[in-house]
Amino acid sequence: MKQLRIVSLVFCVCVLAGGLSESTVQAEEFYAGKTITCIVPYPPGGGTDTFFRTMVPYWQKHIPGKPEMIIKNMAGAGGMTANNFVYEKAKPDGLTVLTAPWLSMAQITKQPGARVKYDEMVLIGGQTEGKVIYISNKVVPNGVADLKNVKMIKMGGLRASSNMDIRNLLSLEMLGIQIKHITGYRGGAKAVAALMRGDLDMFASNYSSWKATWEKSVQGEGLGKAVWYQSAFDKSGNQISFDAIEKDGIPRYEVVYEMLKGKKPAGEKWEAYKWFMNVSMLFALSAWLPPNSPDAAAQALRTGWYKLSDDEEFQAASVKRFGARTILPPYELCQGVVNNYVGNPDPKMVKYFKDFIAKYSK
Amino acid sequence: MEYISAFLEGLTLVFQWPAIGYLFLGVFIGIWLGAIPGVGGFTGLVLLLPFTYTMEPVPAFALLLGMFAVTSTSDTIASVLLGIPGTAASQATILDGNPLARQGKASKAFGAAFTVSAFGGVFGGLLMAASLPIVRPFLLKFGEPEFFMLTVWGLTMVGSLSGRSILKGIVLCCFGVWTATIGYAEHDAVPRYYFGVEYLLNHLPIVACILGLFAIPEMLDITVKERNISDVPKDQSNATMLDGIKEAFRNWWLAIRCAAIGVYVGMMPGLGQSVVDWAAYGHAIQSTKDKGKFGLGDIRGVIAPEAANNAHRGGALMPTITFGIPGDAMMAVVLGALMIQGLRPGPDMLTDHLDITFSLVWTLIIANIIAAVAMMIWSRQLSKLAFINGMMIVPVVLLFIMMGTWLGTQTFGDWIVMLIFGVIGYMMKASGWARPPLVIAFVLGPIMENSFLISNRMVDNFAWMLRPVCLILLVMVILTIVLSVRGVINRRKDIDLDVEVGEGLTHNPIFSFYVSMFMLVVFIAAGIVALTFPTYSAKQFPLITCSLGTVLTLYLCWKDIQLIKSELYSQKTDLAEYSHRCAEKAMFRVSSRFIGMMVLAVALGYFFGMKVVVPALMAAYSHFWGKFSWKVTLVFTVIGFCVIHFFYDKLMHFVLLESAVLRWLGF
Repeated sequence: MKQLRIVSLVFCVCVLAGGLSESTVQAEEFYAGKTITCIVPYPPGGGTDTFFRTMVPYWQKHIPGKPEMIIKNMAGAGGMTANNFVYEKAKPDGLTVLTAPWLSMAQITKQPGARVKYDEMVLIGGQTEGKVIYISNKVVPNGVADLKNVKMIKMGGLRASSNMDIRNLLSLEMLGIQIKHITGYRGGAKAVAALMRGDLDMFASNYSSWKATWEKSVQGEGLGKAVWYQSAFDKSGNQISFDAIEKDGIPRYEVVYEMLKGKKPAGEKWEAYKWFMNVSMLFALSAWLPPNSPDAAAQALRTGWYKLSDDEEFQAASVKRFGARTILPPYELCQGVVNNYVGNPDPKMVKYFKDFIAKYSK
Repeated sequence: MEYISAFLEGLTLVFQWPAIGYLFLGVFIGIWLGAIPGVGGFTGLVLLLPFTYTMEPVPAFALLLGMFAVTSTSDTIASVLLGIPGTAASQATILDGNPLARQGKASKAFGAAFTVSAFGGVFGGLLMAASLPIVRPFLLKFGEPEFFMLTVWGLTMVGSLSGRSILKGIVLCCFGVWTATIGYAEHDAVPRYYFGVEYLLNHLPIVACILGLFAIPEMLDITVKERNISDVPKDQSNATMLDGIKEAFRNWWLAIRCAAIGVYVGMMPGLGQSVVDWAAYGHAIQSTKDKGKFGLGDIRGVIAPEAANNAHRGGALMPTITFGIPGDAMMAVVLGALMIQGLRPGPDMLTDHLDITFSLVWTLIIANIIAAVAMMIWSRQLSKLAFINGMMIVPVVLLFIMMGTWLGTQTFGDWIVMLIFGVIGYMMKASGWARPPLVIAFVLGPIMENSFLISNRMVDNFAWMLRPVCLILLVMVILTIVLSVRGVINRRKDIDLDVEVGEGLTHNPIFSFYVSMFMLVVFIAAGIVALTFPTYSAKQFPLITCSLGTVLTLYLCWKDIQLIKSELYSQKTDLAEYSHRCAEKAMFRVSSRFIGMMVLAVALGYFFGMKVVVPALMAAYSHFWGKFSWKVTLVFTVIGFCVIHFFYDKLMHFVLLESAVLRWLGF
């Protein structure tokens, strides 16, 4: 009997070892001699496109089998066309990868045209960065403390349902500042020009855009200043800090809130804000395979993706082009967001944000 | 002094190796990309950008800007020879360039176009260099209210571009602005005219609309009339390139004015290259006394847009470099390239990196000169294309129409839009509705709506209208309207009523009535749908355009009916016979077959993919319409397949339409 147990144990170990080594070999060999097509859902030249065109040559080197990688742009419907394409039509053979900001709120609030279901897709990994909010010097000549006396702010945005607008509207609402919400600004360029002219008081950008362009022409020219930055929240409910942004002397939003209001933020709006920040900012840019793609493909791509964190050559390129190192949050954290927030969204929050969007759409 | 020494330092940098080599390479690539309809500088920038990652800034920009600067020189080829805009910047060139080619004067058109292109490029570069230190306050004067007034001013140009009927021009403006409202409202979370079709969440792509409006009717015309590009035999054509160069010098003042328009339109972020040629063309008509020949092959109609579109490049670089504000998609790529090189747009480019900034200026200047010389040499051969059998050209052009359209958003909807606008374009051409007002309104519509809504949200009670620049522009709008109305009245006297070859000059009341009815139905239906939009701002523009369009179109329908009645009386015929004559004049039966072939090709494209269907379309055309041998047909088919497979797929990495049948079968 004992002999039988030992034989069984040895057999199981062999099977497991065989399986594991087979899986490793599969991941090693899966992409050898193959070509991966990365689908970027926006036209060439924009922030997303530039990021992935910078990243992909380095990512390629770290994927076992060193496949060829090409980038194709499939713009349309605010990124929805490419997302739907990879979800519905792309073959699950590991050779088509969606490289894009994920449109989590589009799925949660069932926006028109959003058929993609991220909880059915295969997540490879995510990237995150802070969002910098800057305000005209006419409004805050001496610094962010001036906001105590500000009654109303002319805030630039795209439309009430855009992630950027929701984040900024909520931030200002919590500070008790009246908002004149001026929508219709496609991208930062025209909005920043309006801020320079004095037609707008406030706008927001990714930290990389801020560093690459606006820091010099807005702050450097004395037209405005960065007042806070937004980021997601950790398990303890504290806003995640980014060293590079802190070094520039830009405080976190919760710090600014405490300074202006004299107390820590709390309440229904704050909980909604935190929920929203985690949905939209725990990770933003990301890579996905179509549903039912092979595990070996996902494993190989993920291995390459996360090796980028320690690839100093890539990080140096990132600092040169985007002003900061690229931060890739752990896979488990990103998958957790997909499962908990999008796959199974809190109905109260969904209703809250539908009402919120409706309020500002009037 | 420091400024001048940096200016000269910039020149030295460009002439250093390898920068000068890359500059030549960029120019060579740019000439080819500009010559292929639908491809253009944007694609070129995206294609070349990855190669610059490891290069030094000056060689990198010599390659990128060398290519970018000259696509608006070589795009003239398609505009003149084929009547198809090579890029969005050469739409207006077709109005007089193509009639010149049909008169056997393509060489003259090329001579004038390339001379003023070089001049425009050099002028744009120099004006950019001179304006850099002072451009900032000027740009800051133009906010959303000023942009709105600029677009209104732009729309007043339709008065000069409407052919015989200014009323039809206004109706087309309404139609163009309404068409531009399809898709997500920029300012609201409201998809307009969406009907559950994902494609309609976007604005309609301009390339598909323009190729449909202009290219399909032109190919159809060559096909049904079985003509060459030139209506005049080669031995009777005595116009030379030198004639064109002389004309360019004779019209130097017009070229300077239009180049200045090009620079200043380029400087306005958001207006883009689609507007610049129309602005210059409109100015050329408005500022000349003898307007009668415009649209019929007036060389000034070539000089004006070609001087402007090359000068535009220098203007467009200014806000990108000085503020980091890209004016259009191409400038967004250039901005990306600056960032990749570690250069920060803004004041640094005018202080720490002034030599590099001037190297960009010199790159533009030198590239334009090289391209003009190269094009003059090359176009000696190209001009001969005007005299060969038109049927030989159409299959190749069909390839570029299909692929150029596809590049809009790289979705199947682009082909459908191209077909719809192709039918509209044919009907308009056959019935005396000028197409330029529709294009201008379509291009300006989204800018106009967005600027208007932002202005209203920014300042209450239309107080923004009182801003100084707005008031100046308002005066210019009024002046332009007065001049346009006077010009139309004068032009009526100049125009020979028997001449029907120009835009909006064809006389065909029955077809005109069909177009009016189509517009009426669209306006009424679109107006009713607009009432269901949930927000006031989303429904505002569609309702205004549809209401105005409905009233004016009703009047046009009534006018068409009166005209038909009088024709029936004067020709002593009945309606059936008269309709038959009008259909024959429009070559309706043959045209329907051609359009049917295109519809079939698009439908089959869905099932069998573009790599099969586009070469098959070329084969079908060359065999059944061109009546060429199977060997020639095979050559066309192989060319079609190779261009799609190697150029569009393997080199450019575009997303191509794959076969639905193969997908269903699991391949």
